[in-house]
Amino acid sequence: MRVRLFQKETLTEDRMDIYYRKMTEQIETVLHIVKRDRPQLYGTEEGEKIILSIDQVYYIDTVDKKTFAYLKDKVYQIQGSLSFLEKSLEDHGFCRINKSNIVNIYRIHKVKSEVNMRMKVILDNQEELVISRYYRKIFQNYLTAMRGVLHE
Amino acid sequence: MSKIKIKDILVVICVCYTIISLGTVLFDSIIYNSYQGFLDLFYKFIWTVIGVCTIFTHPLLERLSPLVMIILQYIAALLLVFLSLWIGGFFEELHEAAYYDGFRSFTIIYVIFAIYYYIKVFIDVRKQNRLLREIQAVEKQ
Repeated sequence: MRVRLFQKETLTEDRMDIYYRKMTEQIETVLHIVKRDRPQLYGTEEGEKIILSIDQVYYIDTVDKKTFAYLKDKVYQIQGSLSFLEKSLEDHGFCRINKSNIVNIYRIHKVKSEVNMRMKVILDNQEELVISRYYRKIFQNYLTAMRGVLHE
Repeated sequence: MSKIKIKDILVVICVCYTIISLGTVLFDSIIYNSYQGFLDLFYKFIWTVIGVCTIFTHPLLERLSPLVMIILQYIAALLLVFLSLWIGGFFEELHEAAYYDGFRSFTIIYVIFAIYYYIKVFIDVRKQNRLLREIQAVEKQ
């Protein structure tokens, strides 16, 4: 396999593109190493532990001091408090939008305002979550920071 | 000059202006034995305090939608304004349109505030959707 490395200091993040004809063990190993950088969560379903990739998670919710990860059409109980997860996942597209929800911004279909001036996010699976007034500015600042463009 | 310093200066100007205005009018009132000017200014001060304090209750109403919050704050502020007028009525004779004036003054301010808030929400939604589209486009590349 031919490997070419490019150093470009103007890039906002490190990037890797892999061109392949057929998936090989060597490429899978590379992918495995690269993906280790992204945290994974242990989800529990009927006592059984399942590893969840954070890309699959739409949002995280807390009810009665228990934390749940909501996937497209499944829910898993996960470990860790909301504030711990908020801090741990903030670099991976997860942002707190109200007292009990952290949302994966890559799973947001759109943000909408309602007649009563309440703001909501609509996820790709059509679920809706409220952005509380307290977190409205925090959410906007987070998006601005994630976009990484200094000017408007 | 940094933004934070301008904010600090504006706060000091507002506090000094309030103290000087109330102090000088009260002094003049005592000298000339006429309290009308002082009471007018004092009512404005009290109503400003009511308005500001009411607006700052918004963290307590976090569970409610912004529209319900604005309406509740408006009703609470208006009741307090009427209460201040009613109490003031024991010390001086009120103008027959005093309650209407109080209602008008507060309603205008709250309608302006509500319109500003509504426009801000609309602008924020547009901005957040644009940012989301851009972030998601970069991720897909």
